[in-house]
Amino acid sequence: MMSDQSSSPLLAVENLRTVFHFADGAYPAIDSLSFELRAGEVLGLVGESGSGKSVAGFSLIGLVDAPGEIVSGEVRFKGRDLRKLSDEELRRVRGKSVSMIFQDPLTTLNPVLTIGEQMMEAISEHETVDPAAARQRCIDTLTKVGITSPQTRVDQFPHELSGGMRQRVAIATALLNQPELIIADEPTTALDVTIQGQILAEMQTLQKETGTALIWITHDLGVVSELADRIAVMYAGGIVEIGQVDDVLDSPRHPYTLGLLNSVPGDTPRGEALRQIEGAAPSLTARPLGCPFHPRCFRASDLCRTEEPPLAEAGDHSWRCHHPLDPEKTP
Amino acid sequence: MLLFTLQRMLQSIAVLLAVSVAVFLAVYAVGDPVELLVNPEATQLEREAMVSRLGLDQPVWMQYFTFLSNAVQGDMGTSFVHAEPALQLILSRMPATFELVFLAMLVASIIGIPLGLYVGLKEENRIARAIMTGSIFGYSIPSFWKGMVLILFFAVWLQWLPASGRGETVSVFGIPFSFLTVDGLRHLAMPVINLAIPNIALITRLTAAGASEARMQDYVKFARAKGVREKRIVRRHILRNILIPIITVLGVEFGSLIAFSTITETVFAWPGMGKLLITSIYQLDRPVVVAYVMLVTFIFVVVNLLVDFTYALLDPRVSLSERMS
Amino acid sequence: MNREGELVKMKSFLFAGTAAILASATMSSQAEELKIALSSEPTAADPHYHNLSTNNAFVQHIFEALTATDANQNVGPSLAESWEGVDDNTWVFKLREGVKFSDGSDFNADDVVFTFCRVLNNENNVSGSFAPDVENFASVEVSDPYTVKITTKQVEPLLPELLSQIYILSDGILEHGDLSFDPANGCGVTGEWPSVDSFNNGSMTIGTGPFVLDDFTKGSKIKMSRNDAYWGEAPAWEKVELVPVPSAGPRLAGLLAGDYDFIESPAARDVKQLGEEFGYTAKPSSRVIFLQMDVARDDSPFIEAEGGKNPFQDERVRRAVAHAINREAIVERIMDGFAEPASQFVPSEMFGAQTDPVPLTYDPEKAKALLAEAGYPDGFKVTLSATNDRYINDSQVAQAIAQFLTRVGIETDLDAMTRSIFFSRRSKREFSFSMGGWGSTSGGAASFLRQYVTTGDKERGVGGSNYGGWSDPEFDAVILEAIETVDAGKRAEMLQQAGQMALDKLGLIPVHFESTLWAYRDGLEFDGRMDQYTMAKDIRPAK
Repeated sequence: MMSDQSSSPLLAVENLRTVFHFADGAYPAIDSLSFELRAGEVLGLVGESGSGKSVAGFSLIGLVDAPGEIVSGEVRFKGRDLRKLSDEELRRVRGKSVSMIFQDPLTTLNPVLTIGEQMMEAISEHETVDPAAARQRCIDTLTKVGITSPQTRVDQFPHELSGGMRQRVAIATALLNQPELIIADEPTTALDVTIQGQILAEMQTLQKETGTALIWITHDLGVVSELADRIAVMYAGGIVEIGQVDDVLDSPRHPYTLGLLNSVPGDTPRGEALRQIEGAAPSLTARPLGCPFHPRCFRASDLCRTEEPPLAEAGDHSWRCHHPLDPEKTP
Repeated sequence: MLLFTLQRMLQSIAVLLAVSVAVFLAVYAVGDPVELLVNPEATQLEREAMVSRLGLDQPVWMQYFTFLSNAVQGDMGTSFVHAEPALQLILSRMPATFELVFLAMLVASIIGIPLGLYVGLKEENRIARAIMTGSIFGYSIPSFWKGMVLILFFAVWLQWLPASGRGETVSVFGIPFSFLTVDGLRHLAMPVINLAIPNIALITRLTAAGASEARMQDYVKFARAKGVREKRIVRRHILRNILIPIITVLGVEFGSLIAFSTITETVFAWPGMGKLLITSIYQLDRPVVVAYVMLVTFIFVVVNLLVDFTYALLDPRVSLSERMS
Repeated sequence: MNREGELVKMKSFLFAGTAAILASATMSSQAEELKIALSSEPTAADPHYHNLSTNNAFVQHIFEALTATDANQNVGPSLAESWEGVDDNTWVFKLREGVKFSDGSDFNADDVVFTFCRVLNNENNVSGSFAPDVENFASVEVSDPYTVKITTKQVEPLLPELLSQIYILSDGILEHGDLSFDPANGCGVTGEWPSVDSFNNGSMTIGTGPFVLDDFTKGSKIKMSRNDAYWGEAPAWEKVELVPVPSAGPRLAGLLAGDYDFIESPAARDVKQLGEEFGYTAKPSSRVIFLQMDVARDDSPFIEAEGGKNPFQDERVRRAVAHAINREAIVERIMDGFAEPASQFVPSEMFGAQTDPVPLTYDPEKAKALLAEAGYPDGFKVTLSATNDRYINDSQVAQAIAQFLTRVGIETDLDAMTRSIFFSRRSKREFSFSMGGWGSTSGGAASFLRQYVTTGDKERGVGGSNYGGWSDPEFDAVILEAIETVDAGKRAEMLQQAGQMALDKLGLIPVHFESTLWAYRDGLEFDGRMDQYTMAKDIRPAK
């Protein structure tokens, strides 16, 4: 779906930096993170584990726990910088205008409270509402996410539901207050492959129905290619390439993006070894100088080892690489 | 639930039987109570008369079977020293111990849980660390010494509180309790504080450990992501989860204190069960010691049962049959 | 009254009320109220329940007997004005007239007969020590309401003394017909004999004593108030409270805090540090600490000596032990001066004691010489068994004794144990050398001698504590005759003779007499008693 270019972005993140404090100093998990999101748009935030993608998601709504700390940058949501809000103002935004879905459905829900109570508190903490009406709203939303017999489910405890159902509950909870933005942190990673597919499809439908903007954080490029309007690729705490989904997938500019594309299992011909990117992502405390990808890059030069690549753009597509790939030449 | 209770009852009877044998043998093998009971000027014949009166001339296994057959009829033997049925004697002292322990645990919970929450949720600051250090002291200071220090401070120097003993009592359903009178409360103050201090330490540490673990949980983060207020998160999400282990520990601690508040009762001359136990051990009042241990075992059985029920009630993930294993 | 007046009145009322509340909340000792902290708990208000000194001391506040012992354990008249021994087995007691029980009824011979009958019909009683005395009565005749004639089956020279502990009950507490001493047939009593509970709850606790029982809460406190109909000297106290506080520290703390006016058995060290606002009384008691040696066995379990024999069988060795001990040092250093060195088994003021015993001096050289003479120039090894929680500073005293003996060559190992174990092992004769204590209550010098030094004879009731097996037939002859001699003068002489024989051979060795300590707030006076009883009537406000 094409975004509406004339209106201002729903979310504008500028130079967001979050560090983690260790005994020997503060190490950045995300640095100079900047991107925009329009209303109703789906952004896929892709990266390996350790790339900082989850931290990025949490940092948007200030949910970073010690020893992490969001130190600088702006997160402008509908014009307001969320980082400048008071605790109480930010609380009112969370769950109402911006919701979040977590990765592991088995730990997201409180085991000693009923599904209903955990859903209703999402409503009652933001508005005064008649309990019966709130309960009905929960039941309706559960139906929307595909849960059968929601009237019984609502009084059950989390352990009585399967992993897939619990994730649907989490999704339902995120939808309860009709937020304008949902941040989904790898919502299907912990589920069975079959359920994954179901949930993915359902999310797509819901998103189109409600027109909610969605940031889908994942390590799996394949998952997001169907769903997203735009893709942002993260590496070592920063976005190395971002653009419309077709542009990025068909003509990647950053070598890392190419590597990711090539390593998607489905594309490899039968019999051939799976292609992987050599090496491993750098740890938080051992970020390479210059371009962080240079140790694993087949195009690395001395420049890459010493200088950080500047931002290059081509319309809506931008990247950071000293030696970007030529769109004409890539397979 | 009924099946569970029945199974438990059967288990408990086996336990009680085993305990009865162990304690009976232990107590009857040691010392000679007649020496301590009889007037030192008594003649040999008088001594022998006493021995046969107390049934001590029978072999040990015979004494045990007499005891057992009486016990199942509800007669746990008669105290050598007080000539009262042993069980009745112990039960008559129970209200005093009960009110002491109950108030101590109440005070300990009221102080300990908020302190523990503070420490658990605000871990790194100086006040929290001071509280945790203080709790180590609270737990390690010998009870006898701190009881005496309390007496020295509040009774001797400040003269605010009476040094020992139990105050005026008022009968509630025929049972005398002293916490309903002002004089009674004045006498209760120090022994309750003495008993409460190590329990405050225990509860603080327990709550802190639970809270600091709970606040790291995903469901807490998720609640925050939903925009739930901190107060509700602490009350409904964190507290509700950590209350389960806290209550189970408290339950066992309660049972343990009812049985063994001996030191506090001795220091403060509190006429409770613990003091009776120590005195009976010294005097070799065997029936009382045996009856006491049996009663205490029974109390623990009941407490454990109640704790299991409470656990199953509070934690929806656990069913009673799981608690059996 | 105008508004201002009312306001003033209200204010002063409030002020007075507050002051009264504050005053009553602090110090307990008001003008005529006495609070005593006891070192052990009386187990009943029934005077015939258990012959324990704690119980007797308590019960004597409320009840009295025909005779009474004074502060030095000498017998004197009480409810009986006078008595005489008509012949060896017969005694006639003249009762005091005009005495009333606390319920207003008159005291007379019927009450005495009733009491004797009750002693024999006492189901709950613990150690039965009162019954044997009464069982020895062949008959009790009442010729008039104030004369009682008792005939004993066996000669009992100590009858007046024994009667001092049989406290008289009022026959009005039960239904009865005509009373007579016929225990086999119920004595004429038709109601149910009282149990210990009926005394504890106060319903039958009617005595002739200086106080009446208000409340007896076991383990907690005993409240009494003055008996205004008391025939004797009225006590100074309107109300008395006895509180058992068995732990010494809290007991003293209570005195310091003002909770108690008077406490029993403070530790000697604490007593010396009490300030100006407190006083104390130390009175030598009849409790003697002594050493008992195994002389019966040739091969004693805890002795290792050359030649394999038992050195304690030689009198010279025993005398060496006696002289090796520095009694003055023990008294000064361990007992803080609150004891008396003992050279005999009862204090010299007691009936039948040596008035001027040969002192057992501290003479280690003499001890070594005696040992060498007896054939033990290098001494021998022995284990001393003692208690560590029964007598005052018992384990320290035992340790000192062990050290004194080791210095003269008798290598002594100390095995101190808790009293329950000690007493049962000792009565099974497991020890070779033990330290014990004994408080003579009745019979004067006879008490110790007949129990410890006489050859054991169950039927005659002697030698029950003779665990070392000491047997001297000449001594036995004297003591056995003495305890059956009714004439007091002759008896005293014979006891002195027997006592001297015991000290000549030293089958047992006396060490020291304990003193009893009491501490109290300023403004009180107390002389103390040899029998260690604490009674409110003996505590007086200071002049």
